[in-house]
Amino acid sequence: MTERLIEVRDLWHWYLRGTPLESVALQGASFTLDTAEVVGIMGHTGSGKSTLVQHFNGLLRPHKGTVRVCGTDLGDRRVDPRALRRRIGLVFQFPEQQLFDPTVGDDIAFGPRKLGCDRAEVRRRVQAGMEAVGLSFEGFKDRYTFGLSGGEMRKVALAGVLALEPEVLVLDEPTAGLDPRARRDLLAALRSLHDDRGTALIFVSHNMDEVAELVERVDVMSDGRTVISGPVREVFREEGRLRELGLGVPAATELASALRQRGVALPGDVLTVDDAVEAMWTSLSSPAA
Amino acid sequence: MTAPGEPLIRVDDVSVAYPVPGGGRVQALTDVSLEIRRSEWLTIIGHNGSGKSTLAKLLNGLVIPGRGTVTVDGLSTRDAEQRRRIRQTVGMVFQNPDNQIVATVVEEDVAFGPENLGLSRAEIGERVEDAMRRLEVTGLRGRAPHQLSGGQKQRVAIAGVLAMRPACLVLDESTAMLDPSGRAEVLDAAAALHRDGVTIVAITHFMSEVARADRVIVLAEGRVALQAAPRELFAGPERLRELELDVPQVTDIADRLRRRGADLPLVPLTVAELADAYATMPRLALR
Repeated sequence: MTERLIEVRDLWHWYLRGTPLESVALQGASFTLDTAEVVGIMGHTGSGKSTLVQHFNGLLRPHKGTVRVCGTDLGDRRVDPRALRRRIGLVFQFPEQQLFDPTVGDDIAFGPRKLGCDRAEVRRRVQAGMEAVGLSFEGFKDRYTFGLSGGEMRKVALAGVLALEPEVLVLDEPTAGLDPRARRDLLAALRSLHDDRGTALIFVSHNMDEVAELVERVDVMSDGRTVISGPVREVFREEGRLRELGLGVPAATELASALRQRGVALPGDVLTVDDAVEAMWTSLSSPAA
Repeated sequence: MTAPGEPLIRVDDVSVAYPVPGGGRVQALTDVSLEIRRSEWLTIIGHNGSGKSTLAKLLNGLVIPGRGTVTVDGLSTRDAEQRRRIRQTVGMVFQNPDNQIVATVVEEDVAFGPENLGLSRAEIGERVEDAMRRLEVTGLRGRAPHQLSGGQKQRVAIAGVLAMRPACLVLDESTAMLDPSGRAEVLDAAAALHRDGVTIVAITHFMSEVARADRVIVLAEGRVALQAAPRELFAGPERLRELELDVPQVTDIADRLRRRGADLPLVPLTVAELADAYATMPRLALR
């Protein structure tokens, strides 16, 4: 059954509020997420993406406007957001910087232990979290965290959040700095989390190709506001507007518009490499107009 | 001084290993030899953990090889007395701009390097103006770092390095954290410096950035796995796929069309190249 998990309306947030260095980070942002949705948030650096997502599990409280998460009003100061953090898992940028236990298994087990899970349950969750990101349990649980590669450390950090078994996973630039293989693995892991477990995903990124590949719906932020919102295919039709906002379109979409400018008739929206190959092949093998 | 086209940096049979907590060592580079020619644009790609950043840090003596030698403009990085000169010759820009800006105002940040070279006031002023102009940050001179976008911060960081008048600029994943317009800003700035003769060594995971290079080195498990010009490299995508690396999306699209039988004449590296080639192709089913 579809349920509204997150609803943000007219959200305002200031940093260093009340000081001479005060700056506004959000000015009227909005956002919604329903059960098992996959939603992207794009925006240039400093557009307010990270500030917005830190409201989803109560790390930041609204200065003005409404934030409702799983039915809880986070504007209410009496609400303890800690219970929400089991349901909304937040993976920060460069989460590998937050690894602290000497071994992989202990680092991932930290969350479930804090939740009061028994030994067997902790083990089950650690194993499931590791498998979901493609780390072999036996191969990695006793490895030193600091002897891992960057991509492996990123996966360990993600597994640590997955071990909390959240309903919603919020990922802030999860692929930044990863190599192509690690990117592909991570995106595949996220897709199967969604498909197999029904985990809702919020994917914050300025990589247009990955947004096109992973998400169904996307919000575009600029200057602390949500300025475009819609199905990913529709949003990427606004190439000129996206460029003005410091963003772009996927490489395949850029190619399609370069071809159309050269008088080539291409069918449909082109977002991915597959779309481009199909559209270009169809156009090539159809009789010239 | 070496002449254009001559090796500016030589890496001879270098191996590097790091100690890990709990004992033992991790081998980062094994028997690596390569040359970086003056005024070329060399791009280094490879997986996380393939040794790219270690290689970058060897180039200006931030890492000293356990075995083998690195010479910069004839000076060995092993010679502690030459390290200051080496670091003026080879400047580094890293991934996170917030970790590289030291001053509270743009202009002072750009001046930080030359001020520590013991230059005259006039010379410092001239270098700072020149570096800011070339990176197009003159208009931001009075701004505080937190008022800058990611691309602007990275350009300020590069201006600070450029004010040291280096022969070579090493960009170690300097675009990884930037949004698309920030990435374009930094790459365009690097291209302008390259046109002026600055040697560029760029480390990246973005295959679309590889097209800008004169030469590409692929590192795998601490060794040089491939060395080629970009078009040559992407002409044989099988080898790259074996190494589990990608080709740029336009190259991939062209490759897949060609395998279906489309007669595309070249290995395109950019959107414009592929669009031009495709638009002028004869249709397969012309009546």
